[in-house]
Amino acid sequence: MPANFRILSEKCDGCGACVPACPFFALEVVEGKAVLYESCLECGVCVPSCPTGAIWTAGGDSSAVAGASGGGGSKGRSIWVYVPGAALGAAAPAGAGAAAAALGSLGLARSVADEQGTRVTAVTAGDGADTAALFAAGADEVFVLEGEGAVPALLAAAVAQETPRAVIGVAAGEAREVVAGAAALAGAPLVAGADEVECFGERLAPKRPLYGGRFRAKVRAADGLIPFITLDRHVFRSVRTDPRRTGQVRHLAIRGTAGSQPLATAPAGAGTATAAPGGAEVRRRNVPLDAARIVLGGGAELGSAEAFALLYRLADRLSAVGGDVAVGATKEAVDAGWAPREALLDGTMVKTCPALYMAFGVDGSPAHNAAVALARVVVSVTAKADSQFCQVADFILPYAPGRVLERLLEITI
Amino acid sequence: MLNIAVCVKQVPDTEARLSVAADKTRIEEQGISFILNPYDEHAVEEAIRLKEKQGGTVTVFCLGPARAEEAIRTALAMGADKAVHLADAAFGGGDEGTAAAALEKAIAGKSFDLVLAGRLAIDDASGQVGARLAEKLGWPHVTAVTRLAVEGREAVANREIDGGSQVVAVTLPAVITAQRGLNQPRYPKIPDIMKARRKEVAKVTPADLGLSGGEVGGAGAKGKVAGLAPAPGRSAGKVIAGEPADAARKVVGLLRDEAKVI
Repeated sequence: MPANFRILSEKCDGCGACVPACPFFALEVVEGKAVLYESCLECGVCVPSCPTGAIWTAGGDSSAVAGASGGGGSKGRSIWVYVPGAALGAAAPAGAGAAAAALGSLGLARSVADEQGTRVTAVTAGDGADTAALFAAGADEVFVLEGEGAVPALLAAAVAQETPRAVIGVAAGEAREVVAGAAALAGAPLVAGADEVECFGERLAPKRPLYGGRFRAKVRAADGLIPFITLDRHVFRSVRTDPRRTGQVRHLAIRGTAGSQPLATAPAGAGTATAAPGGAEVRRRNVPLDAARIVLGGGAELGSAEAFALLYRLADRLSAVGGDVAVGATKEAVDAGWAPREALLDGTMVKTCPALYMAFGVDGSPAHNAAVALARVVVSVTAKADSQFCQVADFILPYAPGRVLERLLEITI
Repeated sequence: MLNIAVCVKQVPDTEARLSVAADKTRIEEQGISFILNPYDEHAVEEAIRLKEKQGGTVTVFCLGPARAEEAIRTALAMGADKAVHLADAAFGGGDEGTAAAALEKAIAGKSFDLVLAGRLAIDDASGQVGARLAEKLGWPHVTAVTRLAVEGREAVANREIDGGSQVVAVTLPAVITAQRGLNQPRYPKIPDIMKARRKEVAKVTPADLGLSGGEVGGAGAKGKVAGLAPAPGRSAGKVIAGEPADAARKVVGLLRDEAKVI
């Protein structure tokens, strides 16, 4: 039992207000009374949530206890952010989101570190990274991993050596592979694709989407383990940079530890992809749905392939003024053969995050809505008053979608 | 000759109406239908195409309850040769770490040249098992692959990265995870479905893999879903009235001048 907290059962009326307040899921109502479990970290967040004052604290003052819980032995341990050297190096693809996402993860780490009073360490391997950009985005120091073996093994060994408070990376590209591999070698839990990270004392409480974004889960790491977290690349993108910030670059020589088997036994390049001879070839493709700034969606109500094809004409027009435009389709439109399978808007298969999503004749299945849930502005054009999708749109045009499309093509945008 | 292992998972149908179960950590499984994870379909298809070209075997590995046999049979009907089903109840309730550990025990030392799997399973969309499995095996891995060529002991894969794609080469044995676009999975024909019913599906327990009860499933998990809730919805918006032509003009004005998105 936690030493400084107790439920006063004579005061508790079992209302359950404290249950969602606890970031560590240490409270539950059992047979009409709140029960406090072992996982209580005495952070004190639950105390003000209780309307009857039934949560007893030894200090009598929740804030004092909450402060005390932040002063554990790992005060000096920093928040690590793994940044692939290539993401910010000269070899980064022009205009690619990799740099924005990498810097976004540093921004999140910065705000966590500020709240917890600790440092941010950007960790990279190889010489590719632009360290000035790492400092500007919030790093206090940069570790460059050096040693024999693949990057995940180096990272896992470095984590064992330096025991950071948490290891963070972007849930995309190389960072996704490296962080997952390192977590496996470290025997640590990894919360993948988190879209929200809260701080409670020294603890980080990440939340992540499940089932194509239709549900959200809090994930709890087992006690005493360094949590690994990868961040949804669409969510943590903005970062306040300060070009005047600087810090120390430390070259961290990693020796093969007994605990990291693959370092000794695996062939070169084990655990991560090696570049093809002549360097990795990077090229841009047609705008994929998940990279577009504007997405146009079409559904069954358009009624014909010809009407659906108007979307491509509108996309051409908009791309002249609005940047990258992609055309997506509901399952019905794909099944009807109006659009290729790649265009399917299904949250379990693709996540879009456009500034603008315009839906034409879309009735809004849960899978479709999940695919466009991150759109900033949503327009729904449908003559069907009962369309589920109108519930989530910012602007609704209650007309036949084909007719509105024709009108839009007549206007100079 | 290529001996290929394909890891598959059974997941709720993408169109299923899902709700949170009473314990608030899982979705309610009653009354929903399950399918073979769509990304795993691409992995199965790629394995079969490689076998058809170069000869060899395709073995399906699946961790999941009894109901998951249906997904295994789908993969067998597509053309896989046999399957190993980690169906024991003790495997349940685990995390990505326990899943990868169990699959590693099942796959290691069986002279596989290649492990194929989906980029992620559409239910928890964590995308970790492939990478974790590779680390456990000590093999290289490439994730989210849209094109794969295997020649001799080398695989060349196109991997999707932010804003483009990258060509990477790895030495076999390796773990490759499939992204959409890798291929067009085939629909099994009736005779293939019939034939798949007679193919071998070995049921495996933790003890068969040399794992103790504490190393698998919920008992071995280092991360747990502690709470599950529906994602918050958006509120309903503004209806733009008038004739279609006026409404079209109005919405363009709003998007340009107020929302500033075009």
